[in-house]
Amino acid sequence: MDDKMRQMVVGITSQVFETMFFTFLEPMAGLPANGPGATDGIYIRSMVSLKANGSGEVILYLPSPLARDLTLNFLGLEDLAVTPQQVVDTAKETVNMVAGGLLGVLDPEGRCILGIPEAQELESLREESRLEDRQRICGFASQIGPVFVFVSLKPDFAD
Amino acid sequence: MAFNILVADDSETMRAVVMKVVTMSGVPVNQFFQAANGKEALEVLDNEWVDVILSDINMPEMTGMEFLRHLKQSEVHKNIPVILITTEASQARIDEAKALGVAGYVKKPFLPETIKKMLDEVLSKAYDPETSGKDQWQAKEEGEADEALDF
Repeated sequence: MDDKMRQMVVGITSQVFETMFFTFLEPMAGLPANGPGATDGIYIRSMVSLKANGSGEVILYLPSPLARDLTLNFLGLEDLAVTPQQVVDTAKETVNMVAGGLLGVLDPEGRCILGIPEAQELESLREESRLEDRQRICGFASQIGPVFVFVSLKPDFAD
Repeated sequence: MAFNILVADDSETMRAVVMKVVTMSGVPVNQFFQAANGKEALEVLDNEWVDVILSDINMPEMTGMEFLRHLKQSEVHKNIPVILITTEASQARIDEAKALGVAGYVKKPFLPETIKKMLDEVLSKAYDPETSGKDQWQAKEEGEADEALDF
């Protein structure tokens, strides 16, 4: 991803977190030396596909405790009241908003269709082969742990 | 007057957030109805009168746009104001929605004030009991009830 694209992903992701969850992310200057996949802890992976002439996907990796905090902020709930399904739903909604924001800029003619987002809990990021593709990843620091956004768009996307 | 409001979104969590924002905005609510897609929303409309619809676009089974097309073909329901709350932010999608007669378009992520402002606008200017279709809906319901009694 070039600098322009990276700035766009950073700007849109930050806006989603600030507007919907009152949570501030700090863009990382560089990814962790060992690679994002070496980050410890349980993560929620949420992903959505983009389909047009080309295709692509946007994937969000959230530390599980952060996803839980976002859900609490989103719903205005007490800590004990949040359910795993609500956490997964929030992660799906978040990646959907990031992808929708990107499409708003990259595909003003609306030729691309967003898929239905999916999300699941990952015991570890070590098996995530996509996280080895450093060129497609933006990293953010949060109070609870690093957040990663993976963006893959085929060259003919929205042509 | 308190309003019946239908919230259509495949995310139960997002429906809860939207209902919470509407409640906090001070709009008088008689009852909320929920649907996980356009098909379910049409089923709600078969059985209940709603004054305003808040709908997502990107939903499985029947999208918000398909739902809107069905709605606008219904003599009874075509005047119910629809506000789309969606991540689909391209100008083409907004234009398509306008052409289908949506009353408002809110892009996610949204501020609660944006929903409140939109609802205030829509409910103050668009809602007219004479043209809303509610009378037709009530007459249809009463007719069906009479038929049931006759049976």
